[in-house]
Amino acid sequence: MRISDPIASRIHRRLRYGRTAALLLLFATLSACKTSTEGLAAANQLTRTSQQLSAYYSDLISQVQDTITLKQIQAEVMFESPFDTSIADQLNETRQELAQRQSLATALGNVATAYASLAGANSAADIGAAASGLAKQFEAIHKLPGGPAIPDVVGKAAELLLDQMRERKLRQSSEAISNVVKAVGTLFDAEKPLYESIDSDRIKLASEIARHLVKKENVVDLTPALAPALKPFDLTANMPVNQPPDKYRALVAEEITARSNQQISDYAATSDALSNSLMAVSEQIAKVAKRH
Amino acid sequence: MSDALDALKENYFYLTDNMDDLLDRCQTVAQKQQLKADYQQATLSFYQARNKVFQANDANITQAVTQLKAAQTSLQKMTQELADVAGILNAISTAVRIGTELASMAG
Repeated sequence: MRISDPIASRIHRRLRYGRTAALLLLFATLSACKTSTEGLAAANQLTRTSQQLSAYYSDLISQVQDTITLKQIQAEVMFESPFDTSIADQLNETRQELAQRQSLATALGNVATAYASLAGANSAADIGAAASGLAKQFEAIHKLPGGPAIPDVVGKAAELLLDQMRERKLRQSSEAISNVVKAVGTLFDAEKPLYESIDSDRIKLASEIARHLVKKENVVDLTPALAPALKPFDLTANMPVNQPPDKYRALVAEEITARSNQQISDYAATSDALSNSLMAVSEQIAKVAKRH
Repeated sequence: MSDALDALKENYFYLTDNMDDLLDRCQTVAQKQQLKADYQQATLSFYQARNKVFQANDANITQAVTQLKAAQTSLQKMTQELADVAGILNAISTAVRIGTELASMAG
């Protein structure tokens, strides 16, 4: 269509520029949105990982407390000797060390929350609402040069400006956060054998005491060990109290050993999974930092 | 885990795993007392060595916590700055509205 009217031509040009500007703004906004979306996904992953880390340390602290109790039982039941309190002192030191690491996990969780706030929907909604409000006010000015397309572009430009500010801030902060998360992951990896030794210690002590109670003290009800064979038929064992046959005691002792080995192995797998999560979230945040 | 700590752990875990059997093999009270004393010492040696490794990493923990707190403060500041910009937009919006109303009254 050929436009000869100079006013119509000017309006047409403005509309064309308006559309081009709107398209550019749309692409830029989509790019900024992608960074925010990735940032939010990384923040959510960091939140989950820091919660897992905190729970992991909390569980280890409980395990150390259980180990102190097991040492007391071992001393009194197996050794028939008073409990050596210097052992409890050492384990209490271990507990304090783990508490420091739990504080680290808490600090990581706080950063995740702050990171999510920066990348998150609440901030975007505030900015979007403010920009829309501004655009609406411009729409009210009917005589504004350029007609109704301009207020829309102005509103989007304001929104884009803020999105880009947020994108830049996300990139700036992401690199530093990624590095700290990586450092936490490296520390976790370095100390993982120590954590696993705490778990193994508790299980091995419990296992040895349990075997002793079954084989020597004869104070354990062995009927649950027979449940897998009897339960499907709604039957219960009727074992002679305090004098179960030796073969049952041997069977239960073997079961204790097998299950303790399984628990140690499961715990190592849990530790490995957490280590992998820490490294993965560090890389996820690093990608937000590198995004252009 | 260092070789020395690993050796202490293996020794301690071996004694823990087999303590009941080892006690059974002792033929005299003195032998039992010696075994218990050795076990207590093995326990303490391993626990002390493990705590030393933890303590050696304490400086890294403190540094990481400091860095995380700084990152948290920085993120909160950035979020506040964005919120401030949203506030400025709202203020401009209000000014434009008042301007429009005044213009219409004048017209």
